[in-house]
Amino acid sequence: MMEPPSDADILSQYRAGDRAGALKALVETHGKAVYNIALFTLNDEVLAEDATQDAFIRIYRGLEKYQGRSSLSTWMYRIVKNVCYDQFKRRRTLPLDLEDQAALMDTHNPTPEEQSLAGFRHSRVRRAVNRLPQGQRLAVTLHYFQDQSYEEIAAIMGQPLNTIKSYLHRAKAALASSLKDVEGSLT
Amino acid sequence: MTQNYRGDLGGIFKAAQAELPPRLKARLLAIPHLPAPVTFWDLRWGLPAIVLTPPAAWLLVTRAAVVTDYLALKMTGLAVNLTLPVMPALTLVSVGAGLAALMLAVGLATWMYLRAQDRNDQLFARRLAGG
Repeated sequence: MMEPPSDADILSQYRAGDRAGALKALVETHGKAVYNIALFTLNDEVLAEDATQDAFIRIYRGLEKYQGRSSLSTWMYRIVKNVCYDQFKRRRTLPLDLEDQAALMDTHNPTPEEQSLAGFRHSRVRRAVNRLPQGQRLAVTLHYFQDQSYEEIAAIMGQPLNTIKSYLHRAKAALASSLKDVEGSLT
Repeated sequence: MTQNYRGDLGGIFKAAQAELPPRLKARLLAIPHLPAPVTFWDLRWGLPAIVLTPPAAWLLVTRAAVVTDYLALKMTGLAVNLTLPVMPALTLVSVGAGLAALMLAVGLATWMYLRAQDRNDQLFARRLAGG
């Protein structure tokens, strides 16, 4: 199996003029991460797909100006975060009624997808994450899904390091209690 | 087997990651084919110039007519003690302000039009890409 291209390879490919090829490599290496950040931040597949596309449009057009001050993934995730927050601003209803949404989701009948183990885990984790406030939700998504360090999360979210530590501390405590029963499915 | 919930959150999250939907992947790969956004050098910015050309040309032609009349009379010696009529300051200010306001209005309208067209293009391209 071929090794995925490094960020440096992708950048040189882009700067050499193969922009479509560089985009393809970016989608292969970071597409899933970007989509999951959008999905867990927005809690809606359609919105997450649109946000992912918007983010990649900005990434594709902005790659020329990328100066390497932060890692490529940090730079990309900051763009996704901005796109998702723009979505929040446009659809003010989204982050306001998360508790209600979670309550509704808890009582709905499981779909065939959710009956499968992966679907079950996915929906439980999503529900648990969506109960968190917006800042904690993004911090926890970046930390656990994308293995970003506290410093990188602070850079992506534009928040002080201590705020990020506090977000993650509170989020971990909340998630640990709400995901207790998912443990069984992991063993 | 008992697990430490806090320590295993990473594992739970990793297992819960969603795959990139193939339809979305197709949309992402179609990005290079999306219409380019409006740039500063876009030719359509010439629209305000087209609108402003008639009033500016009218101003220039009328002023040029006054000056050429004056020069012709002066050269033929038909008029004595003739001076070049000076355009009143108030006229200059009002004409200038009018042109500036017109330019601003047309510029704003052009910007809104280009922005709307750009959004429409993007939307259309997204739909073509299955979005």
